[in-house]
Amino acid sequence: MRRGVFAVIGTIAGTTLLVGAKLGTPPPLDPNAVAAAGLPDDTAAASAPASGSPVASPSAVRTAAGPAPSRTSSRPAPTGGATRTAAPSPTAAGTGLKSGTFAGAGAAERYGTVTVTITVSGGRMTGVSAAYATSSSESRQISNAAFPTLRQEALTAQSARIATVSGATYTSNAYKVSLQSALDKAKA
Amino acid sequence: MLMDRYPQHPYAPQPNGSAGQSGGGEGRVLFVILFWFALAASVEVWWLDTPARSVTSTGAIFMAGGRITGMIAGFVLLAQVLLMSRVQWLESWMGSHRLLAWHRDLGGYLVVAVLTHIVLIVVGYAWDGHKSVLGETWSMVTGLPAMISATIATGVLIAVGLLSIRAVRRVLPYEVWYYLHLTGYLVLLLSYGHQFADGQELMNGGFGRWYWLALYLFVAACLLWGRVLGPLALNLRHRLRVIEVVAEAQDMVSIYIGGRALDDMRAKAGQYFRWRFLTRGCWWQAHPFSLSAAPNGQWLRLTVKVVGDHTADLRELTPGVRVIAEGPSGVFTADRRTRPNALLIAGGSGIAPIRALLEDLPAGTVVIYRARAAADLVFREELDWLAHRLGARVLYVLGMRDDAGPSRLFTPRGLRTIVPDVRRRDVYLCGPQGLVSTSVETLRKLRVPRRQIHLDPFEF
Repeated sequence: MRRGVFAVIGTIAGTTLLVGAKLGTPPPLDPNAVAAAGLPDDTAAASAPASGSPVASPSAVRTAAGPAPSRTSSRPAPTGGATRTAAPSPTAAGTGLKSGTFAGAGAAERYGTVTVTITVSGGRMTGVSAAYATSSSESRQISNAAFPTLRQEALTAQSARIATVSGATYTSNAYKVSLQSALDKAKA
Repeated sequence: MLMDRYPQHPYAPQPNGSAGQSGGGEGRVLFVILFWFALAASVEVWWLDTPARSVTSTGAIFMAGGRITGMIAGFVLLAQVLLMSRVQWLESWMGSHRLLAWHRDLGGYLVVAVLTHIVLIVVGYAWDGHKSVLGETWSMVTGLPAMISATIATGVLIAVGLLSIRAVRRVLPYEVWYYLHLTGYLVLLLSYGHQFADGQELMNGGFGRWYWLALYLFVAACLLWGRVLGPLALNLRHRLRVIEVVAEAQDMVSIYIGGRALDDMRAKAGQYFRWRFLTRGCWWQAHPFSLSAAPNGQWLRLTVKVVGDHTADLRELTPGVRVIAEGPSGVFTADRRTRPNALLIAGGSGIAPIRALLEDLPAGTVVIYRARAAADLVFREELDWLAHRLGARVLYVLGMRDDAGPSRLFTPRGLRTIVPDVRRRDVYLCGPQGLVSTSVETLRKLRVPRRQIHLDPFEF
């Protein structure tokens, strides 16, 4: 019995330490982070205290976690095109979107690159398509399975604030980044 | 009463944690190191797969925890199967006592780890996706590959875990419990697909996938060898049959078993086999019994106390019945001792392995044989003859537990009077739980080192 308690406590402590060591702040381009700065939803509010800092100072978190010279390299990030300055502009549906077709910047994730292309007409996003470049056939399978869900979510939300698809976390994150960059282009 | 509880079932509950130890020290240390190393490597797979500072949301924190516990659970599941694979090297490294103790402890832990994994993963995705926990569970089970079988595997695992709670297990007949417990293999089979198809760490190739695959292959090979090929080779080679069945005492019966090339058998005195007698009523159950004589190239002998249906059936065995044996197992052997001399303590049918062991020990060995009455003693002539031939001393201690003789013997002073050099001997114990625990307690009071105390070959 006592050994069992030790084992459980040991596991909790070990897991907490491991996860804690991988904690970080969302990079600025992540749509969730943009949303957090604007309207503090529950996700952001809850995640910030967990990383040991108030919501108000994301930069403090970064320094507390150690020097982070390449914070974007470990996260899905656009390989070109949209830049950080474009991010803070509101992404609310139907406002300021030009009609046409806009290709987002390719967002590299761990196993490949996701490129999202949107079609806008009448101020609304009416079509979303995604291309995935990878050398792994399994990653392609996973991503292709996730795209219809992501597309549906994007069309419903009319923004890049969409849910992560279970089992395709990397793809979902890259998808959001590329989608955001496409939306930014449509606004420019 | 205690006598009746003694023999046959190796996996029936044992009230206290096992006190004494047998099993090679180096092998055990090596196994413990390998276990922790492989566990660390399993978590390492997650570590390598997760970029630094990439856990950025509450949901991601849950998911990361879920992945770590998933890797731990997957590893422990494999360890559970390996521990019970009956491969010889593992049994001689660890001793079957300790293997069972590990299996029992890890079993409970495994259930907790799997449930934690599920809860953390579901909550993580539900949180980040702003969905309800139930909705997320449903979409995962129906949407992801191999999730239906993983769900069934979880159900089986929980059922097997619940059945293994001591109070529940005691209610069930041993065979029923045993065959239900074997469904645990389904967990391994059914969760395999889930681990490789849905596991973030495994599905994309690289080190994690290869490592995991290697673990699976290793465990499968051990299982195949220990449970199938090893026994098959043994039985094809020796083709065992019952030669004779002899009544030793009112409720004790010896079965002599012959076969081909018995002098090639690697069995040692003090070891046991799992025996399966191919008769109408017995073929479906295998039971562990110790050899009650050192292997001699002519026959093997096991001696059984008649306590249940199965052992009663054994009395009716006729010569010529085919026997399937699995083993030899156990580290209750003379070559495990750390000192030249030995003290053997037996009670009830525990005399069987002790009687065999006596043949392998040098002159000066002392045997203490505890029984309630002279009529309960078996092998009396054999023991006296062996004692004479080998220069050993056999003491028969008769009477109820509270009678003067027995109660005085199992005190530090009593034992030292009979065996003054007990601290310089290895002590082998086999008998009812009460006798074993009293003896171990007495020996510990006499400061006999733990590594010199060897417990009976199987847990009962």
